Amino acid sequence: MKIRRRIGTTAESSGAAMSDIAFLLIIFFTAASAFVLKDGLHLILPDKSRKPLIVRESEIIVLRCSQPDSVYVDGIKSGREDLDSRLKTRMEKDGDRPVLLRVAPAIPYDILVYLIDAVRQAGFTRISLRMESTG
Amino acid sequence: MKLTRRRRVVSLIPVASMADIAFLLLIFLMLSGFSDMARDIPLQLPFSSTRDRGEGVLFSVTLTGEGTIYLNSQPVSMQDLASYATYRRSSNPLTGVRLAADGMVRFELINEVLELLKEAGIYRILFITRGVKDRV
Repeated sequence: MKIRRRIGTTAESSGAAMSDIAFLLIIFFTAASAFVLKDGLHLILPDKSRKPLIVRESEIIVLRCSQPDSVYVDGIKSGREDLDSRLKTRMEKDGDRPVLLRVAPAIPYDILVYLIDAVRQAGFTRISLRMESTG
Repeated sequence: MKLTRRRRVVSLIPVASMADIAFLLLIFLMLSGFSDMARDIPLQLPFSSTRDRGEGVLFSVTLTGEGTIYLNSQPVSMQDLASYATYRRSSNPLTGVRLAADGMVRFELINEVLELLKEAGIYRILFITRGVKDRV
């Protein structure tokens, strides 16, 4: 007697690849979230609860910017080309001194960033920002 | 004669729940990864060659060229920003701000925002810039 084995067929979709797809998506979103902008110029504002640090005027370097195309370093006009070299020379000569940036209210933000960047590139670590009063 | 069936012992780790864990991680990353991005706010960020990586707890403040202030992609007023900054500072004293501003924003507005943040007790500021190498 020939006995036939009944082969039961089940209608199921294989879920084995689902975990592979899920992990691929995880890797994608992990990599994509790294594109959130996190790089820039890190500044620490002075704590208002602490006493202000008093520094002699002769010990600070003053950068004054009242026009986008003119910067004065301790009263001497500098263009963009020689600002870097002038700051590096001051750094080599006087060391890390506080730098006071006096900026006019109408100066664009990219000029401000350029000035802070130039000061940091020269090696100065203490920067003070002050808005020049108009009039 | 008694016949005993040999039972093979198969050592398998059930991986059926791995897909569930993977999808839970996926949902978590989707919700947390993009929450800080300020999307659809057109900005021309300034360039800088010295850049630091922002660390710690930061919230985003965006200033457009028109003078609009966005707080985590939502337009707000100065008063709202001050209230939010005070609230964030009260929950975590080390909270910082990721400040992304258009290059044409006047320093006057930047200074006003910085003074506001200082008044709220937030002292860590990260000016978001583009790298000089990204300049085309």
